[in-house]
Amino acid sequence: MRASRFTVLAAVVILVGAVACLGPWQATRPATVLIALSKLAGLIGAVLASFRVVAGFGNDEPQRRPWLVLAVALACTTVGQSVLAYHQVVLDVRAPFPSPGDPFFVVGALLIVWAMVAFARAASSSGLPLGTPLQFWSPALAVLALLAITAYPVLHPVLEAPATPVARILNVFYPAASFVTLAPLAVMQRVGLRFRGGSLLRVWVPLTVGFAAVLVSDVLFAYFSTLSMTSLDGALDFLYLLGYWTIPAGALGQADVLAA
Amino acid sequence: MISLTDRVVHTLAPYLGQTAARASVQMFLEKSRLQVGTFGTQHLGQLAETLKPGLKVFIGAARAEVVATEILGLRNGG
Repeated sequence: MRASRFTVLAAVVILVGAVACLGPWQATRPATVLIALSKLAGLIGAVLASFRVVAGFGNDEPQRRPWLVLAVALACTTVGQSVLAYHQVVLDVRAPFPSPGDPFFVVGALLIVWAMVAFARAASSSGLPLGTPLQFWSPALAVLALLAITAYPVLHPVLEAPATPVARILNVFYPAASFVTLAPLAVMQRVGLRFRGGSLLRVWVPLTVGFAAVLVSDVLFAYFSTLSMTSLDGALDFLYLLGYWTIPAGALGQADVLAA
Repeated sequence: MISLTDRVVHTLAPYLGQTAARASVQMFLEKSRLQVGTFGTQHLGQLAETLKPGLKVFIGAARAEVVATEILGLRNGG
């Protein structure tokens, strides 16, 4: 499927997802099933699209490896999400935390950090006019500054809250990994915006917006789940859904560029 | 009449967009100490070779090669 056609499909799913996630029926079983399966479908699309990009790059091309790592990371996330969906759809219970899916989410998160840093470093040394080194890396510096400001208010209640050691470690790991990933992601978003009017904009803007939505959700999920606040579950579900359906649009955009 | 630099920009723009395409050509001119008026078809080979590594990162080696060939084709008024 081409990126343009997928984008139309993604827009429809995101719109329906918004109604399901943000409406008063958000906690009903049909909405829960719809949201869980939609998230899984988006992730499967992201995995397939990323592997298409991997296949589009030649074996000796340096960009092949970060795309391969990203594809494997998304596959890990998909397995993790499948575990959550199994609880929600098949067992009809709220997914536990931690769950057997968490090791896959953890590995996926670490691989995503690696891939995003690799993308940013490759862009930095590409020789294209992407600004001075300070301009190029300034979005990462801004994110890290934000991390320095928000780390304590976000992580303090997580560390103080009663939780099992594993849950506490995960609730610290997810926001920390998200912030670290957001730094190179912000760099790549700026790079993507430099390509406005070109097909590369349709690669890097959806990809980075999608990951940003997922990563912000990870931070908020850790914070709110620690405080046992479930009233924002619908909004978080929507952010995940938005991310999981925007990422494949970007990856398919890259596949289209390679195959054009 | 469309200038040679505009034609190069036109070749790059589908991928990079107008702004980044123009900045890429401008960067080459500055590095080569050329001006728009002195930029000619004899510089197209060097321009294509300069841009190719960066293009490879974003659009892959095969597509970068095609774009480089298109730039070289501008020698013949392509």
